[in-house]
Amino acid sequence: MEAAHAPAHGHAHDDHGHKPSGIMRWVKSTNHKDIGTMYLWFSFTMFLVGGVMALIIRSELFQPGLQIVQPDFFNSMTTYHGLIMVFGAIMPAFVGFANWLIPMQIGAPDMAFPRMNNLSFWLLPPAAMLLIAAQFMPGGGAGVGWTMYAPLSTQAGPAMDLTIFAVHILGISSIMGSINIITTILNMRAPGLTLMKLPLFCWTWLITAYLLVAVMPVLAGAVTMTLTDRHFGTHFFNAAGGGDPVLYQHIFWFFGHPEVYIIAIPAFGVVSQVIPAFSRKPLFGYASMVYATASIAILSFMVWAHHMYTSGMPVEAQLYFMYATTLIAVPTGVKVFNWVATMWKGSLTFETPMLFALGFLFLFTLGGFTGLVLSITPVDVQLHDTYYVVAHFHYVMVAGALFSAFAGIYFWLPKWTGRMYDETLGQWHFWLSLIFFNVTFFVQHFLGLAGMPRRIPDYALQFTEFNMISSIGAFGFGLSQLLFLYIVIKCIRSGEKAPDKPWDGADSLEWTHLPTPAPWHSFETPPVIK
Amino acid sequence: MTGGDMQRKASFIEVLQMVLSAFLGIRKRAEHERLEVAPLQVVLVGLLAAAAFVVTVLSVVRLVLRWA
Repeated sequence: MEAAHAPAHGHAHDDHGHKPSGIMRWVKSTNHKDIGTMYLWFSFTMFLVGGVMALIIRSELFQPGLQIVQPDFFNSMTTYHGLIMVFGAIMPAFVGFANWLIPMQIGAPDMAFPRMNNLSFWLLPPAAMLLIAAQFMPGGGAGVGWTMYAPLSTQAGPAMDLTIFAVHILGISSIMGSINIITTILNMRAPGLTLMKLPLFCWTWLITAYLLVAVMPVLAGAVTMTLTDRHFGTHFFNAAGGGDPVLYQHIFWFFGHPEVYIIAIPAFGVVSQVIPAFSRKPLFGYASMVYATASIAILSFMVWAHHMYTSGMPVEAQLYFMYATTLIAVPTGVKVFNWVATMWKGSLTFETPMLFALGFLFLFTLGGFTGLVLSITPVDVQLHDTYYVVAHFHYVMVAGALFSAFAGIYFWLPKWTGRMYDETLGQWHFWLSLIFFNVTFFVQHFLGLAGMPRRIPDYALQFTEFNMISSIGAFGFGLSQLLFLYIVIKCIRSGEKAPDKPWDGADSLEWTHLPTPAPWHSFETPPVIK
Repeated sequence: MTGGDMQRKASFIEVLQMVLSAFLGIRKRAEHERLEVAPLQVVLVGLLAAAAFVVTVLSVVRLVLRWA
């Protein structure tokens, strides 16, 4: 606690008027706002890179037959689209939110470890460069899928080594970010701000950070074993040498399932701030929201093999993973109920952040339902590796995490930049995104139910119409995101001046105790919370 | 863990109640920070409860398979 009480004037160059200028302001930054901004711009850049890969995929799939790309390149695109969107776009976006908001919401001047914060950001660009450079290695990118299953990954070309190294670096960055977030929330809260008074965004990040610390080393272990299998004569995943390729799948998904919640839980946090603000009511069931989030985090460690029903396992294990997975619907249901109950009898208005939060609520729930469908073993055996799965996880990742990130950006942009975004254009961005998202992904449920496998560049003729619809939707969705870029740049350059508290119902410290735009150091003296 | 009006240390049963409500995801706000809890207590009871959860689901699986 003492650290939070000390004024932040230790170094003269940290003072308000004496920011380092030019490029060095960013390279050497230890300021949580600058680093948060860099995280957000980095993730948007990677979102565009991953998005272009998605459009290459959808272009090829517009018609059956091979028109535009070769199968190897197609496989590489599906692989790096997944890796870049998960590790380069969504995760850094929410770390960007954490950097910007946690110190402001807990009444602290900055993050607990500002220099480590700098390092955890600056590890990201090299990792991104490795993932992009992998495309230009002999033999092209590693078309192994984002899950990097053995034995495909142990046999892939040199691009695989770059990919493995990138995953290592991204993991180190995430762990350092998590240590920073945990320490900041536990030790730097303003006096009187007990844990159960924390804004829900801080709670969700606290829980997410623990998940990250627990599972990133598991992923690092999995890819390290792949690396030693490839180059140093081990046989972890090689049956001929006494190893087991299915072992890789178990290790990967022991990381991979909590990873789903690493992405979803901060999104829950953003939505839990936005919905009460535009309902002008406190969040319904705050405590149960905290407990439900913890519950989801705990359960996420016990369900990993539902990704592997078709890999072969005893019926006893299939039933265990099926029962455990369906139980996750209970705490998730608690959350959805609480969000709806928050809006009940509220004075609702529908500005862009609220629209995106409602889009999240509706579509994420739909993605949750298809997840419940997939958790049933006999159904999954039919649907495994079909477009039904692709549709399911895009409802969770895009309509869930990405829509929530958009909600958060529109919500906090006035506080960050001191200017309002263009409300009319924001609403256009929402409706275009919502419609094109569903055009792209809803039809993929039908493709999956009809039996179209994922990760294929060519398909049988009967799938043509739905694929055409999906590809048109994908281009519409992609172009709509350029509108978002325009809205953000317009806001920063020439938006109207924002008041300190533009949203009636917003009640966390960054709105009630800080001017707009937020000062260079959030709280030099901590506020006293009653 | 902060705040001055905390009196009594939580008993094992009370910590278990906290952890179990975390599993279900529902708890009254009035119940919060009424008692003093050491983080280690929660972690240990949490691991125990997680193990109990796995054992319970596995026992249900066994029962189902016996009837099948």
